[in-house]
Amino acid sequence: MDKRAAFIGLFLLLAAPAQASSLTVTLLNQKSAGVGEAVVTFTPAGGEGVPITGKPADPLTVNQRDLTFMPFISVVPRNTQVSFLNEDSVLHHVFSFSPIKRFSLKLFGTDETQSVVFDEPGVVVVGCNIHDNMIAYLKVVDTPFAGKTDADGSFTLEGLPPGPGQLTVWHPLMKGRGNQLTAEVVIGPDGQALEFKKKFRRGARPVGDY
Amino acid sequence: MFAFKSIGTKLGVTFAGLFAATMLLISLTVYQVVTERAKLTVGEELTAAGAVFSRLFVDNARDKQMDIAIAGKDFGFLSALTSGDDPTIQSVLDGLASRVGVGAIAFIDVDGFVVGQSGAAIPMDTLLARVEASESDAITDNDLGILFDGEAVYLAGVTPVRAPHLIGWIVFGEVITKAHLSDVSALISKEFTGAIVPGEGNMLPRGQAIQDGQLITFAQTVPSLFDDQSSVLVLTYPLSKALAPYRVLAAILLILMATGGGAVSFISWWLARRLAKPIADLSAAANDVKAGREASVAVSSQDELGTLAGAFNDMSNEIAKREQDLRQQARTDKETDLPNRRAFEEALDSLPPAHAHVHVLAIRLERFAEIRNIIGFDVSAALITAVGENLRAVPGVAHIARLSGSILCARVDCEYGAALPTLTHDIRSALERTYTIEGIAVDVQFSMGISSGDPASSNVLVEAMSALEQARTQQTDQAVFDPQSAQTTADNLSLMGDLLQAIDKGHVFLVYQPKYDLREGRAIGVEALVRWKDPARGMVFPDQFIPLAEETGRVDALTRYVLNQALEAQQALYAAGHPFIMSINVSGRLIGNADFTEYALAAAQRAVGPLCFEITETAVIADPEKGMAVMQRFVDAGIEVSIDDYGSGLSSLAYLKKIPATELKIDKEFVLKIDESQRDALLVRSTVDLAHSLGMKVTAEGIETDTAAAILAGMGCDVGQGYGLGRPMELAPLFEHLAADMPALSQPETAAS
Repeated sequence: MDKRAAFIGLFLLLAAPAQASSLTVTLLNQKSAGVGEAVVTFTPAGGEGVPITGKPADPLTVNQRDLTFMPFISVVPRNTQVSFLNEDSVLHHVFSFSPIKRFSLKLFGTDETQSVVFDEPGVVVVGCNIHDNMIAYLKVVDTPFAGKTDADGSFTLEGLPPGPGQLTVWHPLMKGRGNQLTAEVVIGPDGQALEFKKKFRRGARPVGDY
Repeated sequence: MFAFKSIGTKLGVTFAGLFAATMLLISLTVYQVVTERAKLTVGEELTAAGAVFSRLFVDNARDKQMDIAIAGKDFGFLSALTSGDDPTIQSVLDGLASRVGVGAIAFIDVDGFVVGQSGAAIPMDTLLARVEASESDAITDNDLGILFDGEAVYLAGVTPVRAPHLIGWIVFGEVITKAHLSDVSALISKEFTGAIVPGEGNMLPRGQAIQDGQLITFAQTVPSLFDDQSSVLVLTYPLSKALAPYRVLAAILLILMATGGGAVSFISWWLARRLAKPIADLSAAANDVKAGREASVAVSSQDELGTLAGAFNDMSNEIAKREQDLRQQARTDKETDLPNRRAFEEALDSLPPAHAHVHVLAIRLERFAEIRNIIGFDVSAALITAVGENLRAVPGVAHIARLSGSILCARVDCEYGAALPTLTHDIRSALERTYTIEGIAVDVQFSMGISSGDPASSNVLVEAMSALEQARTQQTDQAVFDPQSAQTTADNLSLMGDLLQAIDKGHVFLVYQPKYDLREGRAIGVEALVRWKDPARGMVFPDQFIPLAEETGRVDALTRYVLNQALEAQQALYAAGHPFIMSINVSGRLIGNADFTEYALAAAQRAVGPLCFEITETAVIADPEKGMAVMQRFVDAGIEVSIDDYGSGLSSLAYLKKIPATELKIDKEFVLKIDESQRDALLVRSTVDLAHSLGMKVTAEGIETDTAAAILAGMGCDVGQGYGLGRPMELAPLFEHLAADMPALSQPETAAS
């Protein structure tokens, strides 16, 4: 279904004049409920190195509040520094064994902040060595066209250059290689919409319920 | 229902049966309780074994899993895992296997690759399947349970590893063998058989011991590694082993049953014997009583049987006493309390041989009937008693008895010669006096019959009675038994036996004596008279056999015979020109015999001429009223009725008045000497007048002379018969006699008047 939608998009793109366009992506789970906090990225073909501009900066702070990382998932533009702020009254030991960025921020207390710069695109899983249940994901992207789906599972990519590109949708509980789906799409001059339906594992934070 | 012949058997069988039934019930109950108890005990032990198993294996494995889980969180280990440092991972697993003590351990990454493995082989494929299932279900907790792989049974665990997201699983486990389960059995010292089997299709109830045939089985759910599977620990223990400790109890019960049963049988037999013995004694005694013997039983106890025995003895004594009374009564004359004939005979019978020759006296109180009629039964009985006592008191009198109303008897002890008459004289003097009974003075006289002989060979008592009869016949007051005279009586009896035969054979025949009209001097009738000419005895005279026939009842047959013969003779007489009236003699004893009356009336129908029944002994007519009626019937039928032998018997004027007779026959006693005795003549004349005035004609018998005939004719006597006029003759001579003239009567003379 996602492939067919991609082809529809392709034809639309060919018929449109070359100017900024948009793509609305909607992610549904197996029960057709919208899945929020999925990270949507679009990379225009040959668009590597396109500077990340005109994009309102995502909060680049990950708080630890009530023994929980907030936000759960963060979209981190490449080379961005992320601060980990401890708002709890207990100590945390924030770490990551992720290949693109392994770090260990040992035992920092209330209102202390430690920062890490993520210079490789990919997924970083962040945990606390003291509190097993604390988990957070950082999706490091190197394209300006990225964002998180809302509670209804939708996100609209704005200002897309018409033409072909690669669309990815990632969620840590999505079943599939790398927990993401990838689609080659051609952006037409007019706004387009694509809808995906995927299976999800059950997790500590139910998918689609927030 | 069985019929027991003895109380002993009955009691024995009943009690033994009761005991057996009770013991059986007890045994069954004990068996039930013991079995339940054994099942309960074994069940509890098996439940304990199940708990031990859980404790030993599952809980232990859980403890190990906790250790493994903690190890899985080690920052260094996670670091090694995430950095792909395989040698380090292997070393960590090796260390973990030995430290925690698990058979096998491995790490499987989130993509399903086995990254490191230590220890014995475990069914990795099956575990991988479990892991995949876990992934799909997002189960990230520790999981532990039984894993089946073919025949092998494993206890295995899966522990997720997070860094902090799920990066893989540490799996561990070990095979569970029968030996492991035996270890558990050793711990609770019960040799049960254990097995862990898939729960699917296993219907045994969980957590509860049940009896399954000869086995006690306990099943308990044990955790299964796969949620869609289940596993069951099944422990079994043979029921026989569980019951083994109770075999001693069973043996004791059996011995108790056997000895108790024996004891009960013996005791009830003994008790019954004790009970039955007096009953058997009573039964034997009762049979003795039945047989007329005296009987008594020993009273040996105070219980009901003792009372019964006492009552029985009382009854037996009472019966004996009553029998004694009865015997006494049977030997005593009720009226007088004197011994009776039976007592007398018994006394005679029981005489010792020394008394082989005895003298017996039969003593009759004369005119006793008349005395009794005057003084009454009671006083006359008292009189007899007094006479009896007197008799008994005479020296020489040994036994006395009352034989009948007026006859006593006595046995006397004396020599036969001169002593006997002296003694009889003494007796007579002692008895014959005036007795005063209840103020009534009575003079009595006695006649005696005396008999002597051996009571063993002759009936001296009967002979004494015969002698008494002989005395009466001889009209003396005393007679000694005369065997010859007794012989006559015996002959008479034989005579009667022959009479009917003689009639049949024609030895009895009739002769006819003519009867003449004394005024006209011609024969007007005949009287039929019966004769018996016996080939052996010669002529048997009517005086001899007629009274006997009357006594013995044969007079009926005889008279019928005479009647028939006479009717035939009358026919012959008529045929010969003699239209005579035919007279036959009818005994007064036949009047009132209804059969004869009808017979005679019927026979009279056949008569060709008039009939006359000469009735003798009118006084013996049993029922005078009835007799008169019968005679009236004869008269009504045209039969003349004649009063025979008038003046000789007990004829009375009363009869004359009543009898519807047409003729009166004056007895020859008065006629034979009428020409000599003025007195007789006077009696005859007045009798003739009497008869005439009663409307009867008069016939005189015994006319032997012409003079007598003339006198009688002169007196007005109508008819005459006698040897002088004609003897009784058979028909042929009669015809000749009738043909001859009768000079004496041919011209009737005028008799002296």
